[in-house]
Amino acid sequence: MIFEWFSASFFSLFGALILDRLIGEPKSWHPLVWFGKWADSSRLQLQRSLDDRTFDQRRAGILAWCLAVLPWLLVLLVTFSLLPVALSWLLSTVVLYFCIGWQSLREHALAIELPLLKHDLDTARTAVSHIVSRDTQALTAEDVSKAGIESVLENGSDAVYAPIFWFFILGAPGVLLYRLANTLDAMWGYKTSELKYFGWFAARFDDVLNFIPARLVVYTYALCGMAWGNGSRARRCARQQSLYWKSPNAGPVMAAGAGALGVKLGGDAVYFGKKESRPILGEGRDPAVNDLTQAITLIDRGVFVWVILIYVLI
Amino acid sequence: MGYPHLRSDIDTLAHGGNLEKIKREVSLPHATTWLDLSSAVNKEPWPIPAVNVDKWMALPDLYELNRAASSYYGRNNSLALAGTQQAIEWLPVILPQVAQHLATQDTVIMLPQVGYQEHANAWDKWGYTVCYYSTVESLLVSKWDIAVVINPNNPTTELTGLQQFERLIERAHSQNGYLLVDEAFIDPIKDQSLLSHGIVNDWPESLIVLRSVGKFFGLAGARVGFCFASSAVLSQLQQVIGPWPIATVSAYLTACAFEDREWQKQAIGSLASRRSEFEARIQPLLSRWLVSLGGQVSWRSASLFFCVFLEKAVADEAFQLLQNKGIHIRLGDGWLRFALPASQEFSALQERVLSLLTLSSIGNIKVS
Repeated sequence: MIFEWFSASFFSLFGALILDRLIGEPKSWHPLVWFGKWADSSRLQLQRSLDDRTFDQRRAGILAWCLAVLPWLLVLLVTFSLLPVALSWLLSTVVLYFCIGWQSLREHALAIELPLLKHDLDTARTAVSHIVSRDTQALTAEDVSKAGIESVLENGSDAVYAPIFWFFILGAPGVLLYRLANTLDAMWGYKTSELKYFGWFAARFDDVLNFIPARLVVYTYALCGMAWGNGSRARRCARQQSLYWKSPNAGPVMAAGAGALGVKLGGDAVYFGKKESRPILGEGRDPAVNDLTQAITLIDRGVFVWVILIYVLI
Repeated sequence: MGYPHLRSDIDTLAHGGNLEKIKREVSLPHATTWLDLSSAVNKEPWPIPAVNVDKWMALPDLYELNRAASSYYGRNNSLALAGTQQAIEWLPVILPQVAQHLATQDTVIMLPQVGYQEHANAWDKWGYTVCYYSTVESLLVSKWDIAVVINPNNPTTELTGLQQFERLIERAHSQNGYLLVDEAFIDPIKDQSLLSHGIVNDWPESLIVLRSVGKFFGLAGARVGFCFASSAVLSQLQQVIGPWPIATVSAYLTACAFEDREWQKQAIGSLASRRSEFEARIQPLLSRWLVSLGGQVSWRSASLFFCVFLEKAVADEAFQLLQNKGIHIRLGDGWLRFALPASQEFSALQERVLSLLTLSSIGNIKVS
């Protein structure tokens, strides 16, 4: 029974990865856009005034999170209970396909790297602005590449490995839960005056869901970094450098990735008129343009390792 | 029937500064307070002192206001009004009284194609045919009786030079017409004003200049403005507006603001630094977000506002989305105008535009 569940899951994973590589991520009609609007209206209904007690504000945030996420989980579970087994395999595949962004990540990275190789800095700046929330107008080619690599490494965890992890633990409902929680974190998980308490739960829940996957990603990056002779360096960077990074999961992931690639990431960055000094992640040289390709190769190898390991394990 | 003749089929225009109406129509999460950038007035206004309640009981005496005004503007051939709007409303009625040849249907009124719409409305409702010009230069070659130049223009921010004005005044004179210059936004760049210029030492008969108090001083609610013109025009204007156009309290506060030179100097500095801050923190974010909605954007800025020109459909959509985030701005036909925020409004504005950007790029890849 368990064995059947895992092997069905494996075929779903395989199918979803193939689908993703072939057609990529739908852009204009992504179901998450609808979810975003749904979540916004849930916030409109439930968020309390900033003058209310912080306890009440947090509770409103939890309620709004539940209102945003739980109905869709319920719909998925009911659908599964109604579908014949053969079709539920198909549904799992489709759900997983919509929740991973492996190909999309590759495309984002290529859109930055190709113009950089042609010395078209303006196009590269625009492309990198799609995946980092900072001022890109004044970035040099090396800065653009560095910002791109940072985002690719962090998104590798959020858009590829963590969804696969939750798919294997809890099936399609698990990956849906992860994707919706991760999206709510991107919408509400900020320490701004408006969202500090209301968005507290969204931020913490995403941290919890990412805790184990992020540690697995550290080992994945370290394992793949062995190809460049950087395996132990990646693990050391993740252990030592991520303590002061603002996010508890992104820190180790990016440090491990930087260590695996043998480059230095992090450091000062300008976030729309405000300079922020961040810890250095990784070791070695400053990233060059073609290190973006290396970052994508790292993500790809990691995916292959996961697929093979999962196949062997079950 | 006599001419001009008031039409009854003209609608009133939409303006910024209508937040109360928007609040009745758009609901926001309880934690979100409105950022009102819809009216291009100084959002760090002259600090209004407490006013003696006796002022509400006395009829207005404008002596002190006029004295302070002539010192602030450097000229005294002016009339204090309930906002320059009052002059805009009445000039179409009184100019044909001053110059009889304008009281015909053939009178050509020239207005900027993109500009403050109340000017067009005011002439339109008295039955005049309004023509539009695209560049101020074209006024030097076309035939007209009355031309309106808004300097700097709202919302295009286009600034007309003083040499150009010399030629325009000459042309107005040679055509027996009037040049109406609306300097509502000129206070922070006073040296560009016609009032600071030698050509008005001997005031040209054909020149009318409007100066607004509400914008630079942030006192839009006081409703005070000034019209500078020849004595013939001013005496007619005085006739129609009657003895008490301005409330006692408004007159008193405006006079105090005119005399507060220290504040004026500090305000010009504050406007300049807030303008750089907007350019660094807000404009790139907004550009990126607007481009993600579709099409190209082009920015213009003046001392008190930023204006972005874009496709009409995108402008309409962006206006809605900004409202949903509690940012109220001015929507035009293919443009959006943002009042220069107060210093303490920048962080909230930036956070909200960032959240729009996050929402527009929602997908499996997170903006990190």
